[in-house]
Amino acid sequence: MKHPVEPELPIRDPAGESPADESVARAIRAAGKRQPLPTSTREIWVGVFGRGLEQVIQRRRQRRWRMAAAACAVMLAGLMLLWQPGTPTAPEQGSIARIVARQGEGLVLTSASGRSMSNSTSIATKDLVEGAGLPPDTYLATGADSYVALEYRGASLRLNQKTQVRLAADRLELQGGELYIDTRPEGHRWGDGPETAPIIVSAGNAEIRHRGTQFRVSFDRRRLVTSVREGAIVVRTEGRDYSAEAAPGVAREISIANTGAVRIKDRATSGDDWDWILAVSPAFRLENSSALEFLRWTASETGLRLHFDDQRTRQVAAETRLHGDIGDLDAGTALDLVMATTTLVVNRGEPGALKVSLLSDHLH
Amino acid sequence: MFRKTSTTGSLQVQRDHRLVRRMLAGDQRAFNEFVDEFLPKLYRYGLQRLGNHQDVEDVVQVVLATATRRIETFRGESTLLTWLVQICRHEISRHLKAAKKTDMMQPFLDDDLLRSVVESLEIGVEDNPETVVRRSELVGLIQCALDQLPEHYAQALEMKYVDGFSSREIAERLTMGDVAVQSLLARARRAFREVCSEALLVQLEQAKPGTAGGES
Repeated sequence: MKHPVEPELPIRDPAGESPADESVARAIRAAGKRQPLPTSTREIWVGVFGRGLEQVIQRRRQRRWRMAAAACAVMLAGLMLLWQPGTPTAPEQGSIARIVARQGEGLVLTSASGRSMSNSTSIATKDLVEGAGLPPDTYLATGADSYVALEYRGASLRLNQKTQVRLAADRLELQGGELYIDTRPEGHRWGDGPETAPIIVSAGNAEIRHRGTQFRVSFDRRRLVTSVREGAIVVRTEGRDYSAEAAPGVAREISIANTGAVRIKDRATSGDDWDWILAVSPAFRLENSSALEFLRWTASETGLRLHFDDQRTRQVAAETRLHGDIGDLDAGTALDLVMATTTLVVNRGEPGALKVSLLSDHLH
Repeated sequence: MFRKTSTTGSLQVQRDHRLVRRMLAGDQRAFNEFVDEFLPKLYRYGLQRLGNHQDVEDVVQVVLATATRRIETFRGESTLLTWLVQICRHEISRHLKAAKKTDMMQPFLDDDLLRSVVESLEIGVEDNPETVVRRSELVGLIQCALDQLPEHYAQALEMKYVDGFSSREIAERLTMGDVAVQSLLARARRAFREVCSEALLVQLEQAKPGTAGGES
């Protein structure tokens, strides 16, 4: 039980209390312990207050969602007004990557020739707008408060804050910071599209290859850390291969220190290490998608396993059509809002899993 | 009776405002803090006013439902307890009116009441039913006064004067230093006196040993 420090000058409790203090002591002593709240009453009241508060929170989220959507619409309209044909933009032809989403400022792009394409902090910079194509050998660096998501050779590539990477035609060269790759992002993962080509990440003298995965690579002067939460990876360094394969609900991490020490251990598939990915999550197209597609996207983004109560629940999810727009809400936040409009209930009580069931009214 | 004190009110109001904002953001820890701190206080306040557990349980349920509907309007202009008690008072009045009952609570600063209850307190429990009732009223008043303090003030005072712990023992339990506990106790007593008002203290002073109406 830790209490905050009082921002007042300390007052010493005198050895001999004043008459007024003595009266206080006697009054409190005579009154005795305050009557505790009976447990059964507490449970009832917690239920009443908890349910009421949850409704308020839901209403607030829905309001914010609508406001965010309105703000996005206004921004989009503003950007369209500002856009002037003829202004030079990043080359589309021969591009190997495309900016999908970005957060924060301080993003720096440098072309293969070393010419700075932009070091602007202005969103109006044409090189950095979402949808812009990037040519091979583009150097990309995020600032202390910025993230960027790209589509790179069919995969979803995301860069954490303070990350520097070169986008080569055949590989990604991570020079520092942290990146995340989902090689079968939404659209490929659940559709009939082809598998994306394998991506190689090089970091220092190590090379990371994958098999159909979601993985993270973090690299600095002291160590290279690779975590895989779906599929498998192989890290090759100094002529040796280290492999790790994720299990359902369990990620696997290979950590190689600059001293050569290697550690391989289990990690969580979601949580603090992975949460930054959601900060620059590419938007999900909600309109006319099925609840099943939305749930799979959410599970993929958050690293949680999807578990349906039974086949009927899964069928209802597949047949439920969703409408609207989740704006820039991340997957975790959007999940509650969207599911509230369906007959499905998602329970996050089980660690590492999203448990989907039918509302009790719709069980029969 | 529930009002903010000059020494503790400002801090408490800021803390309560933050607590509400955290609850509205879906922070489970804030929700637990609210439940642990305010539900027992509402219970004791309700019991003081209604004197009947079942009535308190029913009335406070309505109070909590009302509070959730209005919680977005809480702007930190008073402490959260004051705000909740305002809702509670309103609901108790409605309840009493519907049930055609009378309010158990008499005005806190009624001199005659104070004099008699302090006498009841200092003389000790007698078989006289009226004395027993008045003593019970004083106990309720003092406990309500404790409830108006920041919870760690009330806990420290209870540990010191009811449980009989030394400041060193309290320091261990509150994970604070001995000096900090002494300081805390001094501030807690000051805040308690402010809540109870000078009128009550005068009565207590007069009732202390060696003065008229002293302890038997």
